[in-house]
Amino acid sequence: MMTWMDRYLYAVTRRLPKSMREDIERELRSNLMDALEERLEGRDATEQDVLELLNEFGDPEKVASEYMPEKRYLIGPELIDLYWMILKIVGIAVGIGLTIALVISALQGEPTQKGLIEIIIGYFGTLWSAAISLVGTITIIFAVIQYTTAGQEFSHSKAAEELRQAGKEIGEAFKETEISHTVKSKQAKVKQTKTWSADQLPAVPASSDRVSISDSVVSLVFIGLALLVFNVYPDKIGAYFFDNTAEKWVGVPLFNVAILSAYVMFYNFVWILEALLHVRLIQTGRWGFAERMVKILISLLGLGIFIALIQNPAVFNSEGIKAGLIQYGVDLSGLAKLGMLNLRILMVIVILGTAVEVIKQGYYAVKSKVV
Amino acid sequence: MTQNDAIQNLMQELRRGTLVIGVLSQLHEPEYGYSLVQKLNDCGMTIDQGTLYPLLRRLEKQSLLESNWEVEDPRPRRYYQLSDSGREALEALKTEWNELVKTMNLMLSLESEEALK
Repeated sequence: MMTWMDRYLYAVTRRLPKSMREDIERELRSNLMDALEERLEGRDATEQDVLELLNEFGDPEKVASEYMPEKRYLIGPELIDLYWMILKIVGIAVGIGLTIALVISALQGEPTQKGLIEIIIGYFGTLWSAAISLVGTITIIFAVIQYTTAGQEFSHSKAAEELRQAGKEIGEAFKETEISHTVKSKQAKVKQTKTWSADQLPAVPASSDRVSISDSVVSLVFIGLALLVFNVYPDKIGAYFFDNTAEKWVGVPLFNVAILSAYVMFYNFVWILEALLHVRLIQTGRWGFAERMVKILISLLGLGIFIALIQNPAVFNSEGIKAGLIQYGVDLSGLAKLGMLNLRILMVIVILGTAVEVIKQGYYAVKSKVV
Repeated sequence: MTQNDAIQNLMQELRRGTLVIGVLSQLHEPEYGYSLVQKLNDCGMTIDQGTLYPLLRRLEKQSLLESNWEVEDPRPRRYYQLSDSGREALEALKTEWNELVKTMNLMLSLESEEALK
């Protein structure tokens, strides 16, 4: 008979933090016994009495949740939209990247001469493991953010404390990277959680200051692609020829991967900075002065790296390309000239493009300060 | 959710808001869980025990109540009583409640007149 009560108490307390269990069980048992005694009016308790009492008391899950009134989230409602968005963006970027990699390796024919089906199975395998690690990593990052900012009141176990400590450190590092709004956002965050007053409402952005979310999302996708391709598959960037004798596609890498990697390191910094900028833009929905300054910085840094890269002939796999061109019977002399010309034209285009971007951002930045 | 459920839900929400003031008002003298249930019941306030006991703990955590275990026959019981800040909170809640009653009575009497037309 009493086993029903034990079962009930266990069903409630097992849902509670360890530190609270013993005390709550003791108190609940005492209360339940009082209630049972009251309804018995002197006679001995039957199994039926206990069951009725427990039914009246209600679902253990509900009772336990009354003891834990703070809703518990891994990722709370204030972060969940951003979480889904980033998951989608990164997912699409990686999906596209892997698909391109698949197509290239299928066209090339892997050295082991795998069949098409094997390649496709391998593709889904890679896609699956990439998806798992992506979702996992992003979820952990968000959970840490949740614990450090939103879930500050939730503190029970030592493990949670340690996790929070680690999260704080990561959070600090994250903040330092977001050069553009360190001070401002810190103030804003404090204001958001503590007091809010209408006079702090930001002005409705001028149409030139409004962020096009789709532009930012597309940028993020391409940044993701660039990060993936240049870091993981730099050797796949190149010219592709159909080899008639071997009856397959052969790729000639455009870059000397070992030398390129030094430049990629700098580009990674610029790309990640740009990705952070776009995340920030999507969050705030407006181009502020700081955002424009960061954009100018990114443009100039990118241009600098680009010029350095293009000035260094060792970056390009010249020998390989030449050999490839000869082997596959392409007219070499004309193409080489064209190649040099192309590089010059490309440089002019990139410089002009950067100049336009810098002037545009500078103009709006000044305008926003003047008005 | 049927219309009836929705109405039930609304009434439950309305009652829930009054729980704290009701509970605090009955704890000038120490009470243990079940004795408080009966006391509230006698006044006409029905409350699930599964709601009340966690509420008592929360109020204690907020320092509005103090508690201690009394070893007595037939079993040890935890007694709750208002703390100093609990008394203060109760006074503030009472003032607020009286204002609310005034406002609501006014609004509802106007509504009755309106409905009669």
